[in-house]
Amino acid sequence: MKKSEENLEFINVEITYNGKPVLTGLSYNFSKSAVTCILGSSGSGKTTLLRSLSRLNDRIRGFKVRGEVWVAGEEIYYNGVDVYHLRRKIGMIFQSPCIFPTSVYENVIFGFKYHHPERKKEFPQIAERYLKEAYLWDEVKDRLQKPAQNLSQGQKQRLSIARALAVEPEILLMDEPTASLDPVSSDAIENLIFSLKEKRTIIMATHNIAQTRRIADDILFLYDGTIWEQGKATEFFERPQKEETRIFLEGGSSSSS
Amino acid sequence: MNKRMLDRGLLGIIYLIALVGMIMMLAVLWEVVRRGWPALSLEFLLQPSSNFGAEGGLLYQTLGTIILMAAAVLIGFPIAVGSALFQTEYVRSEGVRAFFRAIIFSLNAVPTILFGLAGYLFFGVYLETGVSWLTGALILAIMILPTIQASIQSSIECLPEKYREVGMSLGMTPWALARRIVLPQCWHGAITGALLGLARAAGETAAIMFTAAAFSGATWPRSFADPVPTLQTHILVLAQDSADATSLTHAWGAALVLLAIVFFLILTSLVIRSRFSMEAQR
Amino acid sequence: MFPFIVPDRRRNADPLFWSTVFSAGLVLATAVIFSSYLFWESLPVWDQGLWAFLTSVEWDPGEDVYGAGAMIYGSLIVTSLALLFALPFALCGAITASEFLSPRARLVFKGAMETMAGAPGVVYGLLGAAMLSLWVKDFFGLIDGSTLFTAGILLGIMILPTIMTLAEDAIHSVPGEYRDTALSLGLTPLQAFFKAVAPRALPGIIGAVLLGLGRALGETIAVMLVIGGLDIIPMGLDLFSPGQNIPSKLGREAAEAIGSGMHWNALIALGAILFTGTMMLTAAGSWLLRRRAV
Ligand SMILES: Nc1ncnc2c1ncn2[C@@H]1O[C@H](COP(=O)(O)OP(=O)(O)OP(=O)(O)O)[C@@H](O)[C@H]1O
Ligand SMILES: [Mg+2]
Repeated sequence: MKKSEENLEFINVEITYNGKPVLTGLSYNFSKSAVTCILGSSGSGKTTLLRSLSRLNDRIRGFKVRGEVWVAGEEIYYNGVDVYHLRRKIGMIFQSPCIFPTSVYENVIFGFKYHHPERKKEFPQIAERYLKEAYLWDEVKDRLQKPAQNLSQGQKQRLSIARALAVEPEILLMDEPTASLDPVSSDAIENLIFSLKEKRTIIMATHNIAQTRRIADDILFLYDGTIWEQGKATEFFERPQKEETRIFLEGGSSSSS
Repeated sequence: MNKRMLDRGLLGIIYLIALVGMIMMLAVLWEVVRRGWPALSLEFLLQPSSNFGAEGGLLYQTLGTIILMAAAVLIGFPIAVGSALFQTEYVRSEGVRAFFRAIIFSLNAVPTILFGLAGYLFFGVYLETGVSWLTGALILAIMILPTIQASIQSSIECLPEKYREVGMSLGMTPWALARRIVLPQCWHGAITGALLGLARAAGETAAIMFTAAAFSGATWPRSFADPVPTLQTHILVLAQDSADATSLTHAWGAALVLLAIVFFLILTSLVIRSRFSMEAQR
Repeated sequence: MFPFIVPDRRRNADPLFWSTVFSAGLVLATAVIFSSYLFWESLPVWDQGLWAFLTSVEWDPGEDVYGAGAMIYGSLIVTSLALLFALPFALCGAITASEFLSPRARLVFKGAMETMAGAPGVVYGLLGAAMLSLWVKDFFGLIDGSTLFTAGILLGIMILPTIMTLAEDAIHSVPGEYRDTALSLGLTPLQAFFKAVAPRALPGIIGAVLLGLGRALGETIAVMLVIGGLDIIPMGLDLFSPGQNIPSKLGREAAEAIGSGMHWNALIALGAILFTGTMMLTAAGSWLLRRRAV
């Protein structure tokens, strides 16, 4: 069975850690060039779902995926897939930013340098371009050669976004990218997401309901180890189908107001 | 604040014990220097020995030790790195890793004389290489392998998984991960391991007594099949001849030279390491 | 195909993979060949009765009577003594160096430790024979200073720097966040170390101890010079009696017995016992670690 190049889909997937199911009965077809937000309480499996899309859990013993996960026309847990090619197409922003103990500059071009070692001349331009895209350029332009460990948490987060963007992924997975940012840089990231979604598919796990309202096209709501509710963002917020969803949304809005 | 007092007290005790341990080590160092010093002179270092070591110097012994050490590490280090990376980068089953760990530590505890004898029977008698420095280097390489590997592996295992995950999410292969992320951050462990291995090779006597060492009279090796004289065996021979006072002094002198070689190695590594860490902090 | 290896299709084109497989295979092959050699060569001894060999104290190559009791006892005593002696100094030293010394002082400290870790066994042996055994003799009023106790302490001094520097590495490579978190919770630096840093460094520390232990178990020359060389199990727990451990026995007799005959088989059997013993110790260490991790 061959799927189209842009397909991104779960078909009846079950994810287990050491035999203990975390997510079951997942079936969902992500729409392309759109922002899909994954909502759900802490521990509901958002991170797990994102990581399963680029096989980041391969090194974890006891992690098992049953069912089919289709990314860009390939079933990725089928043995023949080229994981490096796959991961290159799928960028991931982790929940807590992880910065290498080198300079800011080296961090931005880390992935690019690996994939295009021959385009050495372009490195500075690349660094500048993606730092600008991640709205970090103005803050770091005169400390590019300084250790990146000294950046603030929010700056680190944007640095790791720039680093992921620099390898030009088609799909971007973001695990609560704005959790540690101030409203201004958080806005900046939202703008960034808007501009990115024209070319890329973005899947974002988040707790922030106000933000979800602003940027989401589609919504996945995880509850009780499965997809509890899904649909277009507008409908989801206007007419939540289920009781639990309503409670989650209200709990969210009452605590944020 | 009672708790704080307790804490202070405990800290004091820890400092004290550490200090005593340190002083003990320094005393050992000092004792070797004190006893070996009278033997040291330029001639001692630069002349070949004569009269079975009771006269003359240590030139060829020193050379022999250095040759054996260097060859052993050149053979052992890449294998140790490879084997450590296999377990940290490719194996994900804790059982398999535990099995390998057991093997490594068991190899480490084999009395070196057994290595020497088994090595002699295997290489020297069975493969007919005879007593040669290459045989000795191979045996030493096997002997220091566990030390190097264990130290490299434990330093790699301390690297938080998230660094690797970033690399993975950027589409890097294990080879790239190892070269660009794992080794750059763990090389201090590799250096420590290599040094401990070198030092162990420098000091090993029992394993090379029958396989690689010639007693006085030999010079540098002219082929792979030649034995070399070494400092370690030289010390042993001189020490057994302990009736003669000059022999004994020469033995301490040789011990001091051996220590100095080790010290020099470690000093070099410390300079490299400190320069590196300053760069990282800048 | 191999479920214990991270799955990956392009593995075959990965230059690292095959070279690491080769290295690991080499290590494995060495261990397998070596241990099968040990057990193969010692078969004739096992044939005569395992239990008798392990417990009998009589060792007489002239009569072809072999019993490993004294050597096993000696190895146990000497190694435990060495560990008991070395551990407090090594661990306190490692904690002090990595948590409380300035970076520069730490480097000096590590330099000294590594030099001593690299000091050859024969140098320690010389020192032991020239000083330690005399001190033991005078201090405890013995006829001869070559005892199990002397050997144990000498080995303890010898493995101290090895354990210290490796444990220090393990502690030092725990990321600073752990300390910061614990400190921010109001713990004192020492508490922060015990509660937050030590558990993470534990695998490395256990590895360090096992490596030191291995060195203590296998050291030949230094022990030979100070242990006394009598194949006896002293009455009671008398540490101040001469004794024998496995490596010193091998060092003394292997050269004359090399190659063939029952004497050689019996010596190899000693080696096999040591090998098995370490294997079990390591397995116990891993098991401890794993139980903690779950
Ligand atoms: N390596 C692992 N081994 C075993 N269980 C795990 C592992 N990783 C995650 N889990 C479990 O899987 C469940 C889902 O975890 P996950 O990290 O996906 O939650 P999350 O939705 O991202 O939560 P948060 O919003 O707090 O980040 C949790 O119950 C967690 O304990
Ligand atoms: Mg999460």
